[in-house]
Amino acid sequence: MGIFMAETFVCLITRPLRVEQTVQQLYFVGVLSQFVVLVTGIFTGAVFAAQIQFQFAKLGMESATGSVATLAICRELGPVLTALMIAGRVGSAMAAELATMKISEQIDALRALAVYPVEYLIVPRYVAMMISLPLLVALAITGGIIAGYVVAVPLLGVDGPYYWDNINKFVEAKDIWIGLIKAFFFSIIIVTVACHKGLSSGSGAESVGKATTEAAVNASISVLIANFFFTLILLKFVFPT
Amino acid sequence: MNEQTTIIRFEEIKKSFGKQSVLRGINLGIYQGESLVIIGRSGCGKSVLLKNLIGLFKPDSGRIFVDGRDVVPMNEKEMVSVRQKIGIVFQGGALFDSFTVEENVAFPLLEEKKKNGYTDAEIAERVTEVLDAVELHNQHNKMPSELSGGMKKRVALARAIIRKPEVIVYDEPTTGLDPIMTDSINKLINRMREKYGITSIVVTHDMKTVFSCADRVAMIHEGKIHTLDAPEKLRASADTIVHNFIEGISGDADVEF
Ligand SMILES: Nc1ncnc2c1ncn2[C@@H]1O[C@H](COP(=O)(O)OP(=O)(O)OP(=O)(O)O)[C@@H](O)[C@H]1O
Ligand SMILES: [Mg+2]
Repeated sequence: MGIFMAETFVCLITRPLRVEQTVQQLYFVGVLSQFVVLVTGIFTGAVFAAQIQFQFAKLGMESATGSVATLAICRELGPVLTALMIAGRVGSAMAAELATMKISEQIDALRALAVYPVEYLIVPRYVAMMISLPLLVALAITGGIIAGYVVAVPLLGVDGPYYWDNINKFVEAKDIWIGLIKAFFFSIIIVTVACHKGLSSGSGAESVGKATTEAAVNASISVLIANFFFTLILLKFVFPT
Repeated sequence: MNEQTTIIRFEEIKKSFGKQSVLRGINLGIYQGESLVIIGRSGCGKSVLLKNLIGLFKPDSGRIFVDGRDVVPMNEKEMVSVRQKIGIVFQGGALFDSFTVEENVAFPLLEEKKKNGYTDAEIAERVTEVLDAVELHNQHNKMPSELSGGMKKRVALARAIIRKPEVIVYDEPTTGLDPIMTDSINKLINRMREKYGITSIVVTHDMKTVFSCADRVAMIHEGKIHTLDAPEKLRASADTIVHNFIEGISGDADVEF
């Protein structure tokens, strides 16, 4: 897998980008994922704000709901849940597509026509993921913050100006950065696992199925584990308080 | 004879998959401009041999010369120049299933567009030309999943010949086609050779193809070239293995069921 990644990045740097393929992937990964990601962001933001409000109300500090919910959404929930959704939606589809191309000799056909499959198939997927996932995470975060506000303020009666004030006071630009940086690395994890699983699939319909599920499951688990370490590294070294 | 320059030469090619040794020392030279037909029992390694030629597999040992250069040690980048010389029709077609018929056939030309300087109109014209040659009229916008097996085969054929490479490798071009279509593909193979001087390597199980296309026939048996001869000589051969293959006679061992 390391060799595979190295090969891809060398190709990304040394060879011209396949624009048409990349746009196609951007559409599939980015544009078509917006709805799923927005729904994820909105309902997670909403339920999180509600839970926090219930607990904080007991302590009489409802107005802190906004800052806590927003922090959680920016730093953890937004990037992680979005990455999980994309691992399921896009990672599995990529693995299935590549595995099918492999078993039906389409990848051999590309090579036989003197086309380098990494350049034609893999690099566009990497580029599309690395661009799309941070943007999708930003979308999820936005949706989450707005939904949190809607639940906390009009629905549960937290004081609106206070809510915003607290967000402004406790949430900084670095919190958004943490989310977006994580998203960027998650995108690499997902696309690497998906492409590698797809291309190393065995032959037969069963192998395609296996490659597909393994891509989604392995990518999701890798995201969850990596998230813990990213959090540590980012909070301790990159943005120390 | 002057025309008999060897364009491709296999030397002692060996290839195993796990314990199964498929090719056990293939020696074969292919002359420029000839049609060489390769026959042999199903599973004897014909497709594997062809894939070795264009570097999709690497042999365990042996050398393969294309225009005098050994391609076995070449990496993917170095193989590009070799692959540009050799067009291949895969046994299963290997059409790109997210592309239409037209896009599949145009693909090789679009890929080298920067180099050959074709305009879109010229490419469209060539696409129509080769699709007509394989008798696929007005099917340009179908997806591969909407085609019959024989039609896929012909699209694959069209995709391989559109570049007019120096060598075309056909892996069972007529399997699954009706007899009339088979005849028309046989004629197409001959035409490609007569018109453009293309060297053809044809793997087939179809004796009609053998006798209408071949200058020489190579038979693979037990991982080696068993015989290499003109088709008429083959028909007259007293060798049981050759005779049984050509006449389609199965030995006792095969009917034990
Ligand atoms: N990728 C592979 N992995 C393992 N074994 C393989 C692979 N490809 C081919 N083989 C084995 O190599 C042998 C030769 O296969 P090949 O496809 O070359 O046969 P063939 O002569 O083309 O047969 P047919 O006439 O049926 O097309 C078969 O026994 C097959 O099982
Ligand atoms: Mg075969």
